[in-house]
Parts: sequence; structure tokens; C-alpha cells
Amino acid sequence: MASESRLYQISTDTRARLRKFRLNTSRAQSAQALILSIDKKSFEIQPSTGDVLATLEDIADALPEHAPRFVLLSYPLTLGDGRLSVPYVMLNWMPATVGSELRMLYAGAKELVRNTAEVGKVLDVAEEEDVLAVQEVLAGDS
Amino acid sequence: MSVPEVNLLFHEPIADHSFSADRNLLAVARDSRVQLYARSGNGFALQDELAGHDKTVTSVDIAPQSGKIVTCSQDRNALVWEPSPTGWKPTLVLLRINRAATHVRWSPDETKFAVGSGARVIAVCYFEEENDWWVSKHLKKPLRTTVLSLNWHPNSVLLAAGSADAHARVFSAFIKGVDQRPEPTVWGERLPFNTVCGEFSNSSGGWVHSVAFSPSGNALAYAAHDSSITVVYPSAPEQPPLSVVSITTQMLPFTSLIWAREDQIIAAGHDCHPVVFQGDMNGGWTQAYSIDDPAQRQDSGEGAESSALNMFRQMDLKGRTTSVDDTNLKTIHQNTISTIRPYQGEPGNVSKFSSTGVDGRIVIFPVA
Repeated sequence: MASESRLYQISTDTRARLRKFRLNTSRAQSAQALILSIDKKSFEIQPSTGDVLATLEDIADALPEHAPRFVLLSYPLTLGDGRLSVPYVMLNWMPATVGSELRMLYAGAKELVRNTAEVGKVLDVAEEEDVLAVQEVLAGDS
Repeated sequence: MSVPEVNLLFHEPIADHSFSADRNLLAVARDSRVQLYARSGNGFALQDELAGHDKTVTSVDIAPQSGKIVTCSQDRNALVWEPSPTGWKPTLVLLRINRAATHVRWSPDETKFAVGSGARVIAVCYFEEENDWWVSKHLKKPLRTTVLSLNWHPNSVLLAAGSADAHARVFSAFIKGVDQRPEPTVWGERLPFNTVCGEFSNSSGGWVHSVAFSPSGNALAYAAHDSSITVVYPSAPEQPPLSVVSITTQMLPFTSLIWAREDQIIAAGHDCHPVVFQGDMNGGWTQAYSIDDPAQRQDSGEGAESSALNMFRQMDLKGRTTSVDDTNLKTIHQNTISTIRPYQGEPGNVSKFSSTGVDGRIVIFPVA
């Protein structure tokens, strides 16, 4: 973990944004998502879109087809027994067509992002269907 | 009527061949290597060898404009070779297939290429600039068997595929970001990736060895293992076709076919000589004539040898009384022709075509 924080940069703005995202979305009515990418030259982890994504379909459309991304997702659900739960998870978007260089870059940063964002779970998604199936996975686990 | 140009390259089968745009470079698949020959006089001289594959190379294609060579092989890989001052540099393309690749062709606009495979999948590959990497998308449904041959429509979006389940299908290989939205054709209008625009079968259940779009793209011809050629004229998307004309022959099956003109198809295969078919949608199609017809080849050369001296020589050497030479075929090719490709002329009016086969010869035939 220590070696990754020397290689990857997360600016204080990004940290503040992640913290605000985590704290503000726990009472939200609809799903909220933030997509992070890593700049290949500077190794800086930064948000790649504003967090206006509200549905799993929007997230699936916004994700590039052949490049990896990290998605921080807060998804309100009503569990089988009526309780309201808003799990805060990270999606590790890694399509099969990604080359090994990018795979290593994102794999190295995965734990760092997980700890900086303080998410509960990490889900690995490789295809659009996996993104859309996230709801079932979250409902099934909680 | 010019004479065919014959060159025996080596004594091994040639799976596939391709000429560069100026016809000075010939790429020939030889076992697990691809040999590049340069024109020298009337023949070809070995110039370079591309050795990147571990198993038999099944297909080669040279892009006319950019000069890049794509090869695919039974080792489940495809390589894109780029010319550089220090030789040809290969780039591996991750096809993500788990069986051999059988056929590869560049699209007419050369931004993508399609690879047919035994994994019941066609991998359509294009170059992603931002990742500096060749990426593949799979055409899966409804393929359930090996894809034996591919052919691109002139608009670089539609792709015809012949497979071992006796079907010839037309797919849309439209890639967002790489292709422009194509003009509507008789095959369809809004065509997302993996739409099946047409599915045609061979009634005898024979494998479809070769498919080809007509020069205009408005008709599709395919050759199947029951020695037939079928020409399909579609009317509109989701409608039954205007006509489907099937010509059965009494010859051995054809393995490769090309359109010489909108009303002329040339096919070649296990009979070792090309055959020309002519016709159109209204009049129907018929088998017109054979090029390099073995029946017409008079053994004028051998006739002179039937002297008494020769008869006794043959009896002594080979124990036979006649002097008929039955160790060679009467056609130029001594074994199955595996690939024919246009050589000279525009797409709508081919005047010469090249053929290679299992005997290791490359022959350039005139169409007339």
C-alpha cells in the first residue's frame, strides 16, 4: 500500500470530492455514481465525469468500451424484508479487450482507491451486462 | 486472348495469397510462415519471410492503400505487419478466440479487418488510437459452427460469412467511432453491430466454402460443397429476397469464387481449373465456359511422342504399352485451387485473376 501511494497521485481536491460524495449520498433517493480514471502520464487518479449518473444504464453508457475505470456507486435499495439500505461500493470496470499495460496500472491502484474512498465492497465488472446486474448482486448480498 | 502466367513457387500447399496494390509484392502463406515475393521479370523472387506464427498460417491479406499485411493462423492469433526501414514489424492482435482462425480480410476502407474462426465467432478488429492497441469485437449470434470464409461489402460495414452449417449470412459489423453511418442498402438501414441482415442456406447441407458480394453490393453469391453456386438478390430488409438462383454443376465442389463483373462469376476448386458463370437476376444464371479447360487441351505435345521408339522405351521403363502420361493432370494446376483473387481491372470489370492451390503454383489467368 505504501508503494502505491508514492506512485499514484490523488490531489486534495479529489480527496475532498470523494469524501463529500461518500457523506452526502447516504441519504439520497436515487443512485449516484462517480467515475474515476488514471492519467497515463502523471499517474493521477481523477474523476472523469461529473457525478450526474443516476441509473445503471447511464453508467454502462458512460464507461469506455476498451479502457478500465473505477466507479464509486451509491445505490439505494429496499431489501426483501422492507429495510432501506444504501450500499456504497466500487465497481472495477475492466473489459476483456484491455491491454496488459493498462490492466497493471489500474490493478495497482485498486487498493489505494478502495481505501481512500472508504467503500464497503469492490465488484469486478467486465461487460455491460455485469454493470446492469449490479443491483441483483447488491440485493442478494445485503 | 492472352496466355496464363504460371509460376511454381515451391512444392508445398499455398493456403492463401495476396498481392499488393501495384502487384509487385506477393504474400504467400507457406506452412507457419508467410513468404513475400517481389516481381522479377516474368517470375517472382523471394524477398522476405514473416515468421511470427507457431502453427499453420491459414490466411493472408495485404491492404491496398496502407500496405499493411494481416495474417491469421491456427495458433488462434492474428498479426498485423507494418513495413519499416528495418523490415516488417508484427503487432499481435488479441482475438480472444479459443480455436483456430480460418480466414482474414481487410475492409475496403482498411480501418478494420474481420477474422473468421473455428470458435463460432467472427472477430472484427480495429485500432484504438487512445490505447495504441488493436481491439476486437465478436460477432457471435447466430453462428454455431466454424466460419470458413468472409467477404466485405463495398461500404465496409456489411460482412458476408460462409460457415460449416451450410449457411451464408450477412452481418453488420458497424463499429461506433470507426465507421460513418452507411447509406441505406437493400440489406438494411439502421444496422447496429451483430445485426443479421440475411441468412441463406444450402439445401443439400453442404458447407459454404466461399461467399462474395457483387461489385455493386446488391447481390451475394456463395459456393457450397454440393458443387453449386447460389446467387441471392435481396429486395429489402426483413423481406424475402427478389430471387435466389442456384446453379448445380456436375463438377467437383468449388472452394473459391469472385465476381468479375456484375453479370459474371468465376469459381475454382477441386477440379483444378476455373469456371465462368454468366447471368443476371431476370435471365437466370448458367455455367458459361471453363478457363484452362482440360477437355480442350489437345495433347499435341504428347502425340508426337507416340513413336515406336517411345513405345518400347515406356515398356522398358514403366512396364506400360501406351505412352499416355497419366501422372500429370491436363490442367495447369496439378491440385485443388484454394484461392482466387482479382488481379487486374477495376472491381466491376476484372480482366485477370490470380489463383493459388495445393500444388504450390501461382497462375494469373485472363478472364476472357
